Amino acid sequence: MAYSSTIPTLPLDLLEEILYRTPAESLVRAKWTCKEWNGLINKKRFIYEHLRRSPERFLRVDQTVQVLDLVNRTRSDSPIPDELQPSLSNIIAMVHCDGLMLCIWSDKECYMFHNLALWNPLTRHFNVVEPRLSRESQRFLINDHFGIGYDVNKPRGDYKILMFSASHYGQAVVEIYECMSKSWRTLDDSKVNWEVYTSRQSASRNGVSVMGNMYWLVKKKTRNYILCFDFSVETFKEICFFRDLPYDNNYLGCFEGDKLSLLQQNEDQPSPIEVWVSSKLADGNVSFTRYFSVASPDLPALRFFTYWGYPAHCIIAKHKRIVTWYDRVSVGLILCEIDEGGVSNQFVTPQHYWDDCVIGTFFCGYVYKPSLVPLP
Amino acid sequence: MSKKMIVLKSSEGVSFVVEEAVARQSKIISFLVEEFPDRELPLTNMTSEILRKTIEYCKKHVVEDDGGGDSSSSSSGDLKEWDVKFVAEIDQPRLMDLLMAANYLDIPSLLDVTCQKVADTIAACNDEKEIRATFNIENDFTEEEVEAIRMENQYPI
Repeated sequence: MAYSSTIPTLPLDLLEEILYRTPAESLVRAKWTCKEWNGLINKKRFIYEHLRRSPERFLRVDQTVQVLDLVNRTRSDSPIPDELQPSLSNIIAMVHCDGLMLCIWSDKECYMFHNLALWNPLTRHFNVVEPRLSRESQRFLINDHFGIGYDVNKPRGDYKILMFSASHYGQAVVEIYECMSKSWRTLDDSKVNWEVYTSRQSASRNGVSVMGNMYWLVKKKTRNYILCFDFSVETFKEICFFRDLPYDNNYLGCFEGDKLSLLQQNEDQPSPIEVWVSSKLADGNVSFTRYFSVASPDLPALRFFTYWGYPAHCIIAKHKRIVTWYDRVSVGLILCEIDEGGVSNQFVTPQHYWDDCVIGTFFCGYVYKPSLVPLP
Repeated sequence: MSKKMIVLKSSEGVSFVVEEAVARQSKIISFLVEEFPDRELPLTNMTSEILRKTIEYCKKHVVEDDGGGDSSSSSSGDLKEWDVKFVAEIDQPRLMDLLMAANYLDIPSLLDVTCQKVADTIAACNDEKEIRATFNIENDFTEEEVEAIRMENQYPI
């Protein structure tokens, strides 16, 4: 060690420590530095450990794909995948899992038909998922719900997509798509007799994927609960009932990687915000406790379905803070940090619009972690 | 009560007298102090320059127990700022040596800030050519491999 250690002479575990701290965006370039780096960065163990250590970002799609770093507040722009280009205003929902986005968008010709794809915004790989041909319509339909996850008992990377039809009428359908074999199969014993929470619009049809399983906020008659699809045993579970949800808007999110968060706010402005967090999902017997609440006249209204899009939000445990990226009419896209005392910081972030289209940023923002996880 | 001092010796044989509490941030030194009390500790693979830097870092980060419980000598916000300045002032080769020293002496927080600084430098590079130039890394890909990579990857390399 006497004089001038250099990167090429560093032990592999120290090189790893350095590259774990390098943002995923930079690793895309760094992996072509030399064979040693390439071998390390492409390793599955490295990719998932890097993902585990990465902080959350926001992803938004309008004229470009925008990824916002919540710490440095820097934003990167990259082109939209060709496949999404003509259907931009038709994006219904995206579900994030391990840096992959499950995209659901409606057909340009007929809104009743939906399309499905798996997309890694960082590596820019995009795979369309074909519907099961045995189905009568041979298409995904407007009432279909989707989720993404994996069997926690199997090696990572073996992703599955869930499709279930939540219609009140007709036969319920639950199907699983194995990404590896690119094939659909039907789950016979599953019953679908709930309605995924649809306050105001269909936005909450995109549930949250946490540690390989999917979670939705569901109401059935007068009961409210969290519906889970466990990908390891391929069954639905009803976990954690709420006596009532007194707020108009209820947003489910992932908290600290292994828990759920529930952000609640009323429609009238300015309305207080309450944040609840769950116990560890892996421990079973999931229960929610109130994490903090904010009542301040300067709070933004985080409306689920405004004319301008859905607000992305993320709960940061370290500072008991809500970070949200939302659209304020005639002001623009705002990155807002909310602590227990109220709004602590806010910034207007540059925004794109189509020149000829008023609904410019109709699209949702999502919590996202860039990763080098390859598409299966 | 006077503070207990220990002596650390660099590869050039230069002795550094350090408060034990400061040096104990290194898990290795902490162990050695207990095994060999009242002995000079030779750190034969560490230059005086790097050892001085390491001690400077440990002095700043020592947690003083003044009877009223643990209290750090600086607030965490100030410390973070100090760390950023500390690594910013060190040039590349010395930063690598310091990183190795942090690893060898087992000082996790120093290892973290030095690794982060190298990571930030990598992130600031525009492409892999700049990374190679910055860190003096040889390109060991053959023409064929570069071609194969180009074929399967949409990024220009």
